[in-house]
Amino acid sequence: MNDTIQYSTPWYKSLSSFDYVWAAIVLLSGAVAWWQYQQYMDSYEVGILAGMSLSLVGLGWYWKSTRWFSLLVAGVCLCALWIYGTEIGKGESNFFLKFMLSSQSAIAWMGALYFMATGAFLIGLLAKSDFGNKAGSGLTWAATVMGTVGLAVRWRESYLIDFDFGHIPVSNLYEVFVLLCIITALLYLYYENKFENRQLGFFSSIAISLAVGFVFWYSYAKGGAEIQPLVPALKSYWMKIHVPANFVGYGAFSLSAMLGIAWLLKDTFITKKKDTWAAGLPDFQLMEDIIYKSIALGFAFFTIATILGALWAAEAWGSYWSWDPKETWALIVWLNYAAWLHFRLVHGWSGRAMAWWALAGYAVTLFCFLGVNMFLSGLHSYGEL
Amino acid sequence: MSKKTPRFSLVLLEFLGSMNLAIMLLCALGISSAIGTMLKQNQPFEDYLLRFGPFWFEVFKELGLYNIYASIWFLAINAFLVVSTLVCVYRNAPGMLREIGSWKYSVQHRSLAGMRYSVKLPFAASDETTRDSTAALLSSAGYQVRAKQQGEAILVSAKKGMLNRLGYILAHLSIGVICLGGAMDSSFQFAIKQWLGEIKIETRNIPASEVPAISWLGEDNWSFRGNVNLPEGSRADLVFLNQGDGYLVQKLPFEVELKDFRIEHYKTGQPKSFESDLIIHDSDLAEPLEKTIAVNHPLIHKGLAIYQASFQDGGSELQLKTWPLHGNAADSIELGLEVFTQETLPLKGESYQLELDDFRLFNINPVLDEQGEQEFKNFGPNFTVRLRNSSGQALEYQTYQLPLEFEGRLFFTSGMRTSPAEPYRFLHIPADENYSLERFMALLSLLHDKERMSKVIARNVQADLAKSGQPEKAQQLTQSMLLLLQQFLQGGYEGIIQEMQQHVPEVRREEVFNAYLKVLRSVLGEAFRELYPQEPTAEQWQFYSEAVEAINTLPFYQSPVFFQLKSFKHIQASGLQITKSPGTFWVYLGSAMLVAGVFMLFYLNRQRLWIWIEGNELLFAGQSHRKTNDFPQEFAKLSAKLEQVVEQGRQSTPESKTS
Repeated sequence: MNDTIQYSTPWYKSLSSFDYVWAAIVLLSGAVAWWQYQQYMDSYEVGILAGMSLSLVGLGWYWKSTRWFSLLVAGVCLCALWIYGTEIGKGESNFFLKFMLSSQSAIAWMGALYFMATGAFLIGLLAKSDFGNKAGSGLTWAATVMGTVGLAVRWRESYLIDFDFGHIPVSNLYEVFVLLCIITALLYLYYENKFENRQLGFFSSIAISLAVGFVFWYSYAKGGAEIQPLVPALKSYWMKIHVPANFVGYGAFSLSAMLGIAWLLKDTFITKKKDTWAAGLPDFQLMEDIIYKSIALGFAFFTIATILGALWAAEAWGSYWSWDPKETWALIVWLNYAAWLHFRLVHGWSGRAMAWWALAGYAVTLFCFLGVNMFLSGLHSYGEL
Repeated sequence: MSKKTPRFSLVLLEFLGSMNLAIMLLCALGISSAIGTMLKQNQPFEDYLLRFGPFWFEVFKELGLYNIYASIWFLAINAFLVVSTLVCVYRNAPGMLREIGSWKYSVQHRSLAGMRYSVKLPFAASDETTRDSTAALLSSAGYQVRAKQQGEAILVSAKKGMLNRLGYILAHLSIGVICLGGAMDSSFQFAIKQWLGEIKIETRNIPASEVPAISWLGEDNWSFRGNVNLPEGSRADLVFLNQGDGYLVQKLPFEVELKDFRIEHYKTGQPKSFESDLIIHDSDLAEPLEKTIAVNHPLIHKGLAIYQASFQDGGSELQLKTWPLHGNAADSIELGLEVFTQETLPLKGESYQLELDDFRLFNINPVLDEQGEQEFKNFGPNFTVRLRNSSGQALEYQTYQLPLEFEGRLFFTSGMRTSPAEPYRFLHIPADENYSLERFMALLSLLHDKERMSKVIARNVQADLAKSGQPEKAQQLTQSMLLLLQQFLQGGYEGIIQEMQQHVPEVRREEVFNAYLKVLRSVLGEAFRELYPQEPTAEQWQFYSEAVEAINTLPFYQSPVFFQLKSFKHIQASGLQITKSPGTFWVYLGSAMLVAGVFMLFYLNRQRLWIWIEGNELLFAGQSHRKTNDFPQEFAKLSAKLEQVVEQGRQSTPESKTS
């Protein structure tokens, strides 16, 4: 007789009309992409396109901010592509491309905006300024938009230089570092949104700014921004899924390490003096929660990425596992975080030891990511320094 | 009461399944894996010997550090870890599986009241109505709900996320499955077979047909990874498995033929793709199977996978011309030779062994253009020979077929090195107007022809002396100039300097050397004019000075001849890798289990809720296995909703409650 009291509306009933518009736009774009380029895609790539389209719809429904973010990126990108037309040379002659929208400029803007966001977050943290934090957050969004635009435009530019050169921009250290910045920022913004807390923005910005520094150095000193054609071993649909999945892992591990730093700083300063700047940081419980969640997410994607790597290796090199230094270190990273998660989930450990461990784990991750390329040789040295 | 010692098997199980053991093993695994990445694995033993010296070489060898991942102790660590994990699963799985389906009806009111998340609410509606409406609420929150009569009370039991336990089982079981697959494909089986004496590694570099049967593997071998180089047009029904310091030969159940091998290049010169057109000859097939493979696109036939792994020269046929560098150009020999073959050549009175080592069609190298920008240029074909003299010493020469451009001028270029560890040192012979070696070789022959040179020198000496009025010195002067020329031809300017150091006091050396240079230049110039009866042009004079420089370098080249490549028939060989890995299926299955298990473990939180309906009071309690912020928030929200349910129930109930 009476309405049953529901816990909450089922998710499909809580979708707004914009959600449906969003779904329609994404699916339509996917369909157009397929229609335009199907002759260049093999069946796996069509599958990836379909999977990505559906995932993007789901992501937009789950985390509402990604809807306007994606549409903004797409809009700016399409402008850039429209100006480019078929001539790569426009990148030098057209004002908008040269100073804002070509991949190099967009990425330069991304870097500048991330640096500014770091500054804003620092003010927000030390001066306990809400405006500082909000500005930092906004700047981070803007930077992430520019970074994503940069990579997307770079994808098209690679085809404009020479049709044979074209490839998804995740093939060298320059490109993947930009991807790392973007993913780390998005993960931070997600948790900021979910926990409605901006006080950790400074810490995630540290990792991102360091990555930006590397991008600028690598581009300036080593010419990493130049688009090179792919070596035969990299020409595969696997690159589209193995590399991004790895970077969701790396981004999550970066974030967890930075939050570990935040936890330790608060712990150090709070014990000395109660009303120090560190009191502005969130509760220990909340930080531990986010550290755990980001390590869990990173670990899940890292597992997927390592498995995809093995599947790819089997297709390219004849064996799913050849104890190549990169593979071996990926295993070590995986075992390290598996141990961390065991101690958290089985023994219930939390707090200082785990914060230090998150930081130490990041050192291991960095060695796997960069150290192997720099110091060791193997089949995987595509991004050599 | 006597203390019973627990059964050994229980103790063992406890130990094997203990977390401490697992952690220790994990650390050992991590450290030893890391060592294997720092120390390059599977290198020839000589490399390690050179690097570490005899003592440490032996120590590391005994520790198995040169092939860590296949060493017994590494495999033992792995095996222990797998066993440890599986013991954990064995001990925990039954309880976990039971828990998934359990409703925990046996819980007491008292314990519910004592739970951390526990709230009491009075209600007015009937027990049944309350049961139904609260159950519906819990159900809408995603719980599975059941109700049961517990004596006087109704117990509503709800659970959510129980599949988390299944995630645990899948994730940990998958480790065993993956390692099972890996073990099936590991090369450890060869170590065992060797130890049992069933097979023996072949270390000699001999054709497959001569390899004894004990080094062959047949169709009963269920897993292998082998390589074979197929020249275009040839076929093979075997592969070579690299093991330790040698190899084993594996017979294939079919024949692979290489029809054509192609490399495509980007416009920068870097390789774009490697493709092989293969034909599979299998008696089980109606007709031969034709397929093109490329990197990332293997061919799979009868459970064997064929990969494009590498490429090399397949025995190209080269037509060479040998120009003598110390005699008459007319004595040049033309010979045809295949790459990877040798020939004995009588040169300059001695017997030399000529080994044709390699031929490359493309040599794309970075160069700096006028603006200093780096671009890629194809230098054209080159070939590599080793020339071994009668005492066994070999010198390696890498010579380009086409003249290369240096600062606008063209030179025939050949590099020489005495060992692979050294860099090449280059000889640059200028190309003449017809882009050939003819002029240079003609000049060189002339210079070596003592008779003709005597005449040339004598003619000019007489002309000079007649002018200065000392004709009697003519012969002496001619002889000394000839001698100087010989010294130059044999040792270059260095040779002259060294001769000079023996005869001339130091204080006069510079003066004397300058005088010698003047004389030498006039001799060489005369020789050059011999070849050009008309006055040579400026361009030809430049050719001359480059030629002199080349002649100066010739002594370092140390070869009796210069090899020129006239023509070639390029035959390529494709490097194929053929594998049989039955373990792949298990590894992929385990991987799927692992991913599913991990996601279930992380994103399913085991939560239980109970509502104890008795008297006029509703006791709502719950617990969550994961200690995060999510459950307290959910519990609080559900409590609030329950209050609404109770309120709604009160409003729709008549004043007195029927008991």
